[in-house]
Amino acid sequence: MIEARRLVKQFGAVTALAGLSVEVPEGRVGLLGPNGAGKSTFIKLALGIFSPTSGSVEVLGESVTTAGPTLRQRIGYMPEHDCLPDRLTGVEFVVEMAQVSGMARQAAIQRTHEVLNHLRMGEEKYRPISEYSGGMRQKVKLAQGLVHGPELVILDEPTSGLDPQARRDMLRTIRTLTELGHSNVLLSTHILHDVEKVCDHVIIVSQGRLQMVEQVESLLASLENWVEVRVGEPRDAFCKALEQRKLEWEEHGPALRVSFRGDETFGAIIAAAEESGAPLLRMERATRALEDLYLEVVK
Amino acid sequence: MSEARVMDRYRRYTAALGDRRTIVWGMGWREFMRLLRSKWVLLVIGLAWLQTLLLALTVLPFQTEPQLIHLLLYGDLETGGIRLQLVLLAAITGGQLISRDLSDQSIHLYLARPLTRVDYLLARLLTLLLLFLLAALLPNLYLALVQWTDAGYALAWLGDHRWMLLATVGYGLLVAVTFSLLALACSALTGRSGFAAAGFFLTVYFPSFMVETGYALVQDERILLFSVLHLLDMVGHEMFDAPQWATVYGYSFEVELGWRTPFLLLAAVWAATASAVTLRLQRLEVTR
Repeated sequence: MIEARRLVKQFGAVTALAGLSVEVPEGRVGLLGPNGAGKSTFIKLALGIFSPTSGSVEVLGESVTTAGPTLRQRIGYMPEHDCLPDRLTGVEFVVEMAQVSGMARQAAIQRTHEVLNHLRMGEEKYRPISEYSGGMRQKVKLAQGLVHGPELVILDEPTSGLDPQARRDMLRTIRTLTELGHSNVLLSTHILHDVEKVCDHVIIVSQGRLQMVEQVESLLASLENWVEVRVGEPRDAFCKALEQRKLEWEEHGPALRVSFRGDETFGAIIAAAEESGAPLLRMERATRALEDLYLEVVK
Repeated sequence: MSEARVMDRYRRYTAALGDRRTIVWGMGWREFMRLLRSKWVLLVIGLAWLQTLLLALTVLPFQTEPQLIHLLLYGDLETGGIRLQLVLLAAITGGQLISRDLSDQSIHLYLARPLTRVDYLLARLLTLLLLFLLAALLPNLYLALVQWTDAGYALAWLGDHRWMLLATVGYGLLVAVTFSLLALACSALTGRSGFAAAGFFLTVYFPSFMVETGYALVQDERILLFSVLHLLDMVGHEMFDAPQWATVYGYSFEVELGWRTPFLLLAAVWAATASAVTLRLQRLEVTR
């Protein structure tokens, strides 16, 4: 969907991207990173709003540099910040954005209503944007990004500033609408939960460099299901006893992490301790959240 | 329509999208139509048309040089011209066009569409050009039509005065582009419609006042080149093949500055203002 090669972007003395190379797969992809990681810069380079200092970027199989702004007809973009004209109604604004994407007026009006109805805007869509709540403003921002039926939708912090209920609704809507419309999604966020809920893949960037590309499902599977064990000496004998019972383990500071294979794992650990003569000091089921991994990666 | 059919329509949707030229034209036209719904815009255009009618009734019957009537129309209020109305129109409309998109930040959404910064500027410029054509070019064509009817609808008159007719259109565009670019630059640089309108007024009238004062002091006609209004006057006289006249504190006198310098300076004003707007937009994207 997006392929960046040795992408460098400098703003004066500040290096926003320092040789980022990444192949963003098709589907729903989360772009994770702390503030200042280079996420927004990467998005603007993918949209062709900036030119890279060096390196190249291809979006939907076309070079951003050679395809020019017409490539943006295939992309929908929802920025993070508030950027809605309060003087217009929701419908008027989305129709205007559809026409600025190149749609004819009648088609723009029809499609605007379809998208806003899917977003459950109801009769509110005829009210001026100045009267909208935060959640409705986010919906209108999303609608303008979807209205022209883009192949790729780039969402920059779409749940920013929303209350928990509105956030849940927004995530569900993003998932449903992009599934229905067969759109690819690049979701830039620093909220891990959003990625878990919406995305198939996750890309972690930090300090302008790629840190990780992984499938969310396999990542979550690998993160969970550990039993943290503390034993006395002889520790080596205990580890061998674990291996004999086909249990994987790894050192984790003073403790051991043993893979969890169901409730029988506890019995197997106790048996290994008995067999090796190592006193079992502590045994606790531990799950490592995506957040732990994220913090490890961006450190 | 059942929910399943609505879902199916959504799923199968493929938009038919026009090219950039269509988008730019559409943006310009929609904004033009929106501005025409403003009572202030209609009032200023109405005043320009009324002024034209007065000029046609009072001055035209005594005017022996057909092209001079057009120069008069573009002149100051006291000579029967509509310059003040044109400046007002640019201030009211041009002042708000870009500043409004900047203040509500919708500019970021426009620039994420299939438009370059130059396309965006052209779309906004087109809106103002259409307004100026309505306010200035149509009255000028009306004056030309009156002259033609006075000449007995003779086709020969049109042939004899074809350069005058071309100059009427050309000068109309020149004035429109100059005022539009200046107003858009003020709009982009200030980011607030009120400041932009005031800034535009100052940009147009303050240098004019200064160079006239300067001329009164040093009596060097080259100082007049530093005022956009005087530059436009000089270029206009050249286009209509009339002797160059400048006006200082209401007194008109002939000047000899040639055609090259005023034309080049006006081109420089265009380039500088267009660059200022595009640089401002570029800077905006970097800081967001």
